[in-house]
Amino acid sequence: MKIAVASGKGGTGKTTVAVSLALSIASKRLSVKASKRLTEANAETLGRYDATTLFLDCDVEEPNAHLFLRPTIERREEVGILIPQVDEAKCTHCGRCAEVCQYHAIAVLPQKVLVFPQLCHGCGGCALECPEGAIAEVFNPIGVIEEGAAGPIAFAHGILNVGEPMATPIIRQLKRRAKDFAGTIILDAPPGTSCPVVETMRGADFALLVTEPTPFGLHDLRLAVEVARELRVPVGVVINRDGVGDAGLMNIAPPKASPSSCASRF
Amino acid sequence: MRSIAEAYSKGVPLVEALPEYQERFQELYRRIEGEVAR
Repeated sequence: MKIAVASGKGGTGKTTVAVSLALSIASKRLSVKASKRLTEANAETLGRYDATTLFLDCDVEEPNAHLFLRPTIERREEVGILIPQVDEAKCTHCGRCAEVCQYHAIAVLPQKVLVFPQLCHGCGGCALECPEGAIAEVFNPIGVIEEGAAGPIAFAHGILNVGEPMATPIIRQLKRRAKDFAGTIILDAPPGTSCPVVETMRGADFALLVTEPTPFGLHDLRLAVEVARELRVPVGVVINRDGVGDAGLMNIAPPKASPSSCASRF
Repeated sequence: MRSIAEAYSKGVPLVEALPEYQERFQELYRRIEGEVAR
């Protein structure tokens, strides 16, 4: 089962809830039945047979779950995307590459082609469409993934390089660790409701939305519920710091917002 | 609660600082399992 812990608003306690949930179910081995189905493929991916819970910190711009879980990091992998490299000797400056690029990552001047690596999404369209075969694709590192273990919890997190704008390729790569894992998977999402959150939540069995009883918390919770609804992921709500602030939060009526829901107060 | 904030500031997980919360998170997990199974 994949549980994405998200929030909309930052600082509501996502990581506190995600870490506590992972530790609580791992200590009780609530996912022990699933662990019996762990295969050699799991061990190859995660380096251990006995993990019943997998924790993926998808907040790659500022991962911090490791501060609480204190995992032993056993492996490190560089993550990147393929970006265009133009052979000026072959290029006729026809401009086809710039035409096909939907992200304006390439600009063709009369005598020169400019590539903007941080806008490139690595789709490869420019290289495919170049009539002169003047574009090669080269690996551009954008961050790393570190993985290891924290007791019975298999752990991995992504770290986006400073200045890199695109978090989703790292999250996508991070989520591959979950592919063959038969136990419970906890995905700690980034704050907000933009692409990195969508990428984290996509394919989850359940989205646990952590909020707080404040107008900002309620506002962003509504946005997060909309994202989950779009992705057809059932949601539940954890109200952190219950009793502090705005009681109006309870009027959101989660049952109207998604196919299923449950609420817990902490 | 001050003790939760203090634990957080030291990098101590909530359920380690206040073990009584473990049961509540386990119950939350069971409810999620129930929702997903529906």
